[in-house]
Amino acid sequence: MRYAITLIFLLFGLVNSVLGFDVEVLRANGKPLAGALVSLHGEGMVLPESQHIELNQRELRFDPQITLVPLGSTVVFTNEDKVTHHVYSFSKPWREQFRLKKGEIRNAVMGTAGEVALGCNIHDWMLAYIYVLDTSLYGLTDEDGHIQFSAIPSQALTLKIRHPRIRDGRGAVSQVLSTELREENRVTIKLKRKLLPKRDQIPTDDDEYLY
Amino acid sequence: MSLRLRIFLLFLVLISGALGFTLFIVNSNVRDAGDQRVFDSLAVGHKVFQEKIDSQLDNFEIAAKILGKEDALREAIHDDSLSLKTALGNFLNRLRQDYDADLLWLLELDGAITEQAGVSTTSGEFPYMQLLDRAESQDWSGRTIIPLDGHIYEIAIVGLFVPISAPLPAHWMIIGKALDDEVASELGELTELDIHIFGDGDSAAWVKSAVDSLPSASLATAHAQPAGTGFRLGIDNTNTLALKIRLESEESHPVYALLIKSDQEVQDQVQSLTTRLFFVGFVALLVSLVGAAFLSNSIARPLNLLVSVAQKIGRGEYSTSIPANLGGELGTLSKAFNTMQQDIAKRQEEIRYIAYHDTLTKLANRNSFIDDLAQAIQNADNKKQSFAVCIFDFDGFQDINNTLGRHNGDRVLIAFSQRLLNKCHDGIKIARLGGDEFALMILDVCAIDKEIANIKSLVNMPIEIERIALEIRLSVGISIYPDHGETPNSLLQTAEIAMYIAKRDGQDMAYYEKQRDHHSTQRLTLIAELRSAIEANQMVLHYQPKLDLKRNIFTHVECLVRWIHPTFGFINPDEFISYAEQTGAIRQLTHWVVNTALDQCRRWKDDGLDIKVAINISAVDLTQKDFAAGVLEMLEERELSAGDVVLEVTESALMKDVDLALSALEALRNCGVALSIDDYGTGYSSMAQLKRLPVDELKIDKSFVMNLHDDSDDYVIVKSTIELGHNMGLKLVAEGVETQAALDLLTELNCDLAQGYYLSRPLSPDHLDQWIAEHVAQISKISE
Repeated sequence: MRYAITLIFLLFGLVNSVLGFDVEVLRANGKPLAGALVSLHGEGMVLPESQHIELNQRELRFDPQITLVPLGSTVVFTNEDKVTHHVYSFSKPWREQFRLKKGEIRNAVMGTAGEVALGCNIHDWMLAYIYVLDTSLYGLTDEDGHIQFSAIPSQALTLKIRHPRIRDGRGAVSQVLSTELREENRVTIKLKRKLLPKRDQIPTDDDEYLY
Repeated sequence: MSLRLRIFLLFLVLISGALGFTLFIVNSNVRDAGDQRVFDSLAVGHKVFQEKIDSQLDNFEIAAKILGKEDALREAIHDDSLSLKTALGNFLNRLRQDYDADLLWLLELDGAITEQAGVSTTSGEFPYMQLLDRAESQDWSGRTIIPLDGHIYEIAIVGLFVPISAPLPAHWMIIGKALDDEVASELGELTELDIHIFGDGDSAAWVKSAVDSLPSASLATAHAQPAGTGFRLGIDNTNTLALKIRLESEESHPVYALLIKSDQEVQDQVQSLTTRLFFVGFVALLVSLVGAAFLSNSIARPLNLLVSVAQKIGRGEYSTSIPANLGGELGTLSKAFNTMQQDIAKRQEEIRYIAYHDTLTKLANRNSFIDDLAQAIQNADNKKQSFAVCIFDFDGFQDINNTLGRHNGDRVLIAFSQRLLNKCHDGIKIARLGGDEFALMILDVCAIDKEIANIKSLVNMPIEIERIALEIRLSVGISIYPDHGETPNSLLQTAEIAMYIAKRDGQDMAYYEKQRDHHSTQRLTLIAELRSAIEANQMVLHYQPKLDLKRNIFTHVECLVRWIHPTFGFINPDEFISYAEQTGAIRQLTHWVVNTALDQCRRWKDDGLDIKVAINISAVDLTQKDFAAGVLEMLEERELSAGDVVLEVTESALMKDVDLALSALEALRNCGVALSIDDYGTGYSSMAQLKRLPVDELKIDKSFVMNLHDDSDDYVIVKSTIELGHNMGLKLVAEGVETQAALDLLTELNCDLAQGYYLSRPLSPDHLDQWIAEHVAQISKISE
């Protein structure tokens, strides 16, 4: 996994708080779900600074296939292939399509939080997801389906689990973080339904978003 | 029931049974096969129907998948509602042209209707949510047939993916088509079936291919049947078969199709086939029955013929011709009948021959002769003629049998018969009646003398047997029809009597004479009954005591046989003894006499009296080989000793053939039985012969004793005989003692025993008892 879990420490007074919170995500069959986006949402949360995040087209794939983007950041599309791509998204947060000739670069600012599904009109199998996040507490689960938040604020929080193949809640599961859960410092989310099957019909040796 | 009818009926029953069974089986099988054909075509129709719908839905699914990748559609989804609606309408137009589609709907993933084109529903949500779940699990595609607002639709549903490779679709897309009467008619034409589509519990079909609706009764029947079964649907009493199938539809709203086909055509074919079969069967039956009639006739006719032949054979007709041209078993039977007929005829001939011929001499037998006599009597009556019957036998034939053996006796008879046969001619009939008795019938009474002379001439030459030339002498008795008898048996009887008379009188021949002493002739016939007389206990023994002159006591009795005939009274032994000797009955008589005498002796012994019995035996008895043994046996039976009996044989009989008698006498002597020569002095026996004989006693004939004291010659003879006898060691008995003087003289002459009227007459058993009581003191007692 190329993305390490990102931990963001907030230095605000209201974050005088509990140390460490562990989230474990399990599939319906009990196996850990890796690569799932886990995020905590609460009111008035301070967002991280906007950044430039690369999303390349390389070897007829999107790379990476799952990109976590803080709200307001810019996604830089770079076509590193020798062919033209026609990137499109019909997702609500960012609905746009453009052709990107070889070597061309295009920036797009993600101004709305949510999931953006990307495809290429020329290459049907190309698929990528951009999660635009309006929180600083997020990350992807590791191989064991775990993610560790070193400190979480004591305010009311909602835990969200997202992954393209999650069938429960059509791709998103959320849970209010109760006092009991906080006191335990850990929560295990077990999916009720099995994962959606892959549909992209491409060789699977680098399908990172699946994990 | 005749065999012919039985065979015919058997064939009738068998053939018609087989035909009926065949017709029944064929008919029911063909009918079943017809139904099966209808069901098969229903099954085929089902398949075609299903394939038609499947291919339509396949098309819809493919179309939806392609449409889902259409950029314009994806863009339109995010346009305003009206734009989307017109876009969908546009796409539906394309689909209508290419795929005959009637509706194009877009749904949210949760089933909410995003937009509709073509046929639409007023409800805001897709009503069959299970379909969505099912499609999700089937790679986001599904198909079904659903009722909607009173119509039936076949629909395909696929997920609309944005981007195309996303694991989760953004929307559902539905393409569908109404299944209406037109579609049903099309399918009906294609499958040649009548098609009705209906749902659960509905009282009428939604869709039908036929013009007419299904009657509610038929629909009720169809409702009651489980899906997947074929059944008979009663529509207007016609033969209609139906197959109910469940279409791919929702659990909550099942949809069925009823495929209907009339089996009228098939039944018509069955009917025509059955009719033809029936005709063929009927013809076959007729042909078979004609054949059966032929067959039964061909079996029964010869059998009837054979039956009539057998009946003829039963009646004694053996010459019926039997058809020989029959084949097989009947031919064999026929041949067997022929053979049997011939065999029976042959055997009948043999039996007839045996019945009417004497097997020994081949001459006619008594039966045959009696038949001939009856015939002759009839002829004689017709012609007012008479004829003669002769019976003749050999004199002394018994001697031949006794001396030469029965076998040789038979040879004599055969030789004589041969001579008789040579003399045979039309004027006479010859038969052997039995034994040595022959009969001759002479049809011309004038030829009697000539014919009898002829017969007699037959024995002019002696008959030679084993180098012995036997002189034969015949005695002939003659009777004349109708003078001496009017029936065959009476003629034979009178001729036989005449023969006895000839024998008695020592003549060659005698005519029966009615005038002659009827009594004596009758008695002569009775002599022939001697054997039966012995068995009938008509014989009685009389006893004449003998006095021991030296001791003056009675020591012996002579046993004398008497025949007391129930009708004729006393018959003198002289009258029947010689005849008995000739016929051989003497043996039986002697046996009876010995037994009776020994019984008497035994009784005396038991009473303490020692009276020995003297029994007269015939020379014929002595020729019997086992005579001595027989006597001994009889003695032993009564625990008597040989010394208790004296056997007397007349000198004349003894001297006839000394050599023959000798062995028997010696055997008796060896047993200790005393032998006495009776009537001594009348038989001209020489001293030399006397010397050879193993005798113990001489009995001087009464003719010498009766005039003993008057005649000096008799005195000398008696005196010298006594002396001679004594010198030879013999005892002397004198019989015919009638006076005291004679008794005195005999005593004087040293005679040992005496008997005669002076001492006692022969006494009947009753008189004897009385006599013994009177003379008991003078009777010999058993010495203690």
